[in-house]
Amino acid sequence: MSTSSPPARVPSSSQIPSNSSTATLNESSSPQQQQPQQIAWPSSMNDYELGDVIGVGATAIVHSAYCKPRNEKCAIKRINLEKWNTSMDELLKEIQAMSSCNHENVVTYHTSFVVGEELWLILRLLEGGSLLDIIKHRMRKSDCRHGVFDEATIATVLKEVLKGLEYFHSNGQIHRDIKAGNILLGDDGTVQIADFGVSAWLATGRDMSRQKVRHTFVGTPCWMAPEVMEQDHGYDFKADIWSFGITAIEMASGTAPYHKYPPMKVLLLTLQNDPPNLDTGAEDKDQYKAYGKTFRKMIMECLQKDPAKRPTASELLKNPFFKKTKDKKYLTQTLLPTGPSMKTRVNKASKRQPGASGRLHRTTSGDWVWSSEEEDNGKDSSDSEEEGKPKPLNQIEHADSSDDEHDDSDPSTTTATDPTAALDVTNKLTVTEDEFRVVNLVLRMRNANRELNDIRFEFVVGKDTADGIASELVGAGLVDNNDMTIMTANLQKLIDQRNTLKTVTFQLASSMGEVPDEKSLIGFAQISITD
Amino acid sequence: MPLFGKSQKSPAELVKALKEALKALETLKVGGDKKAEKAQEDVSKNLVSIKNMLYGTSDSEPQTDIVVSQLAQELYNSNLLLLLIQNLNRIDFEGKKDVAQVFNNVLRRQIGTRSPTVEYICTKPEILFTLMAGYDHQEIALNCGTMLRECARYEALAKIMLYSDEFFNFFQYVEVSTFDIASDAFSTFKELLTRHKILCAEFLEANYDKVFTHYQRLLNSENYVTRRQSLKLLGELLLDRHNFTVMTKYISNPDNLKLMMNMLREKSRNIQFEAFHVFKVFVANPNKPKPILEILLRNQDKLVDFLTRFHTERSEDEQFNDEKAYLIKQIKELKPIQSDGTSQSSQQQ
Repeated sequence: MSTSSPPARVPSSSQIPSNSSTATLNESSSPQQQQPQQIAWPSSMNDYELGDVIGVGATAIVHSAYCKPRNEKCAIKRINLEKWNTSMDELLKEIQAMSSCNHENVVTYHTSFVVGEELWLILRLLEGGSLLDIIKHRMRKSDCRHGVFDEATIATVLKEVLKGLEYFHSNGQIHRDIKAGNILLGDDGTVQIADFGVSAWLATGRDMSRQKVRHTFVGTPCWMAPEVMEQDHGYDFKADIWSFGITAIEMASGTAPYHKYPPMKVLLLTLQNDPPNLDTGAEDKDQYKAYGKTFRKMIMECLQKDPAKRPTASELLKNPFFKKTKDKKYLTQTLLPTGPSMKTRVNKASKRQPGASGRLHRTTSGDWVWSSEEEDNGKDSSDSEEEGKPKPLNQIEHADSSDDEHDDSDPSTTTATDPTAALDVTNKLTVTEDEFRVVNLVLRMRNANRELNDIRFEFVVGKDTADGIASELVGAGLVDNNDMTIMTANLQKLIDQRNTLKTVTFQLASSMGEVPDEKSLIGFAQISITD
Repeated sequence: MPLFGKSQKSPAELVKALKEALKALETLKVGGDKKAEKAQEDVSKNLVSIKNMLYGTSDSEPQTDIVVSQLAQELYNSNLLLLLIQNLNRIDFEGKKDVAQVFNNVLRRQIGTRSPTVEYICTKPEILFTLMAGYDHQEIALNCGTMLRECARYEALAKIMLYSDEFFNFFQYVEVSTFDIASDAFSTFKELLTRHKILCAEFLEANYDKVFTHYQRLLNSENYVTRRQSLKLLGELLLDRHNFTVMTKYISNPDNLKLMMNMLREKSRNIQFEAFHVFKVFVANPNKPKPILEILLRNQDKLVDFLTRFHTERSEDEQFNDEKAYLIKQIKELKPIQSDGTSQSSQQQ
């Protein structure tokens, strides 16, 4: 047999770098009490009765359910594996992360099994839904202009979250996606951190060909720590503390500080500006004056750009703010009754359209990829939104810069707010006026690992400049410094001729000694207009 | 040295205390009994101390090399690693994880180029077999898996596992109904079959019939995940140059070709796609044996038609499209078998 055999033509399987964080250990891993022996969670679908759908994701549906042999309620997350084109190893890694946790404040994983082309994850049912559900519901039903929850409620919930995080970190794990949407509440006031990664990957599990496997989910931009956004160095569990700080703001104001901006902008704002605070997204100076110094100080400590300066979860638990904590029962009185009923959530869940918004992802090499996903900030158009009381925050919601038509809400934000960071922020971002035409673009090029990546960004004609954008791309580490000139020139060309030209492909200066090939974008990059 | 409130136990004391607690735990029934509870607590406590010695804590650095090497020596001499693994199911939830962390840390320890723990385990292969049997027990399966994969990184240990009878239990483990255990077992299985290229190739060649008889069952599994994963791994195994002999053997068997052709038509597009990557090897083979050639010839038109319409939406995947075009061309150009019966390929390319 000749040696010019088939393997020559075959792709090498893409290696997934093991991302296992080195163990960070402390004394706190106290052994949990073992449950008395009882029937193990069965791994056959016939032992479960499916109830209502309580959540829908890009590739998964969550049901409330009932486990017959155990006579117990549970939640079942059904993941469609056919839509899961990413490696199964990643799914396993995440399930292992869940099953290696045994803590009151971390989602309780029971078992998982395959049903046809679906993977069923059996989880504890938390009837109250996510904190985000409750926030949104409350903002629709009542005037939250001066804040969504009182400090005691915030402290009580956040303390539970912190305990979960402390355990998590002592386990050597990083959650990477702490936000209200991933904090679940039980009927009895139980608070659990959910969805470590599984939901995150759900977003990435779309149709991708073999060579372009994108992985290593990082988080949702608004909640993402600066060091996570910067790609050159790694990040550790302090990244979760940043997200925790953003979540604290979210619980008070109802949204993350930069929620109204597109992801690339959020990235730049987070990297370039001083850390956000409670007033960053405020419309009036005194809007959130009900919140005291201790709370603000706690947020400030979490939102320090230097991760080393942020407290650990254990240290944060000792923060004076958490002296305001009440018990679980308090939450059943203040928080849960104001949340949407299971019924409402069921209806909502079935209406949500996948792909309505998106998330920023980083590939193995740390490059940015934006891909769309269901649920997210603010823009959740629910039927009940129109009716009922005036909505204090709808001005903010209108000021979405990717939106073409909106009112004069922006000027008001520039005049208000905290004199420190916020002014700077808003000034930079008054890009939403009508005379500006937003062009959505995608830059396709290979990263350091020679994998093709799509970097999506927008260009506001009359506001942005080609060299400005190019230097932002370079600044964000997405484009090699040597390519800035050629990038600027081609971006300018595309923008100038955008009525006739939809794509430019050009050779890069940074080509690394390989034979350039325009067709396969080796040593070449391509910018296209996507709208 | 330690300036903490209470004086720290020496490695020897710790190992001794842990061993005694384990022995107590082994003989007592868990649950209810005060003594058993105490023993379990002692085990957990000592495990944490050993773990902290190796990894450090948020307040203290890991111990010096001397202390760590004393600890390792004590662990070998006391046979504690095996004892821990044998009693893993009796240790509490966090303790199980601590065992895995201690085990993996000690395993990675190096003196120059030597790995003393690897050498030690080579003399105590029972450790490996006990770990492998851990997949039979739901409550310890994943902890054992973590340790097994660490072991599999060392060629000497991988070799012991591959060439053991117990290796063939993996064909059951990868198919158990609990997904996390099955896929954990699968990743260990894959590690063993792919990590050390030459060792793996030799193993597969020497055990071709047995391995592929078993493997066939995975490819025909009722479990979608088992089918998809095993098919993907098969593709990777065959396309690895080290496994050239194995590949040649595999693509000479008409039954294997039939199976892949059926899998090309599976309902699942992912399985179709993985099957394509195995199927292409049969077609691209320049020296197709007669039975293979016959099957392809019999289906010549159908295959060309099928492939032309196969996964056309993957227009961006150039490699796939090139390969597909190549296969179509190859199949179109197939010529009937010569009267002398020798196998041949239709063109020289």
